Amino acid sequence: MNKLASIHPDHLLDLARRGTLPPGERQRLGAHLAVCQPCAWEQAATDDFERERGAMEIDPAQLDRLVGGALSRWGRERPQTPGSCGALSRAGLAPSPTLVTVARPGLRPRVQASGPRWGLAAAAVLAAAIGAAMTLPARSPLEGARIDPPVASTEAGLDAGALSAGVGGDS
Amino acid sequence: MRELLAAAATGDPASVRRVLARVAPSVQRVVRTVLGPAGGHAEDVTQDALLSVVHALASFRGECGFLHYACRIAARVAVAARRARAAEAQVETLDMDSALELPGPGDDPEAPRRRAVLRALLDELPEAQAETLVLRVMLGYSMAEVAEATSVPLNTARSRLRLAKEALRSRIEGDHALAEMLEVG
Repeated sequence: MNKLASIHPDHLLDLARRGTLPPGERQRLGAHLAVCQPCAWEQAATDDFERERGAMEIDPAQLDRLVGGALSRWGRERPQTPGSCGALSRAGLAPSPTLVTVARPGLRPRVQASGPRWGLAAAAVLAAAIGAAMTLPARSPLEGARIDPPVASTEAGLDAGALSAGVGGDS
Repeated sequence: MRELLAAAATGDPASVRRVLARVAPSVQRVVRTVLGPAGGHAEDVTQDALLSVVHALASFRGECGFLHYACRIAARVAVAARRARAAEAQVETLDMDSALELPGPGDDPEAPRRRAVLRALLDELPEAQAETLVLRVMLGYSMAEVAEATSVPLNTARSRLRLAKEALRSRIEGDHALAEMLEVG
């Protein structure tokens, strides 16, 4: 790639588009376009798109419908504060009664446990620990235990396990 | 317009409606330009773009004209929709677009193919470069306007366009039919 083609004279292309390119610069731009395919392409394509946009027919009724659709969607997703609800109602855009809550991934709902529940749970754990301490020394760890046959572990199984452990651990 | 935008930014529905009515024709043109003739979902994407404009009302700082701001949003939404559609269809979008492009009144016979190449390039470029290419080539912005609309320094906008052009060059060089067409055209 030669040097002339590697530096794209965007400012000259801008001037050429506006029809204000000085004659001296016209020659310079022409020399660049002769060796730079992307710039030649850009210049031609810009004209192509401009013609296409100019020929586009806009249907006012369709636009009205699209604006109305966007406003309805916006109305449905707006928070239901007393002020906004009233304003939307006046404009005929009252949000639907469905309450949409957005869950943030990675965040779990915070559970606020009451005092007595915590006390009961702590007492139960303590009692279980004392009971286990009293019975374990007298028995073999495997005595009476049911040993399941090995199960082929799969990634899905591991994921499911991890998921349930995560959920359980949080409760 | 400033007062209207301020009222719309506070969420006044009547003002929002008036703002949308003003920008909707341009937004629709941008969407249709980016999607091209294969964009059968242009209505849905236009509505998505209009909704995005509403969402972005509060973020408008007046650093550029609001119409530029809205067109930029429309361009981003349309490029994203194009890419999603291309990924979903898993087809060569250049062939898809070329088959549907027809020369318009006063068009160069090669114009449809040129437009198709540019549109297909949008599916491959990094987002910032694709956006720059849309504003510059498809919407005819000057480099200063591109920089203003994308809120980056002029040199950054130039650099993005240069990279997009390099990608275009690779595409042309890798396709003999395109290279030949450019030489003939």
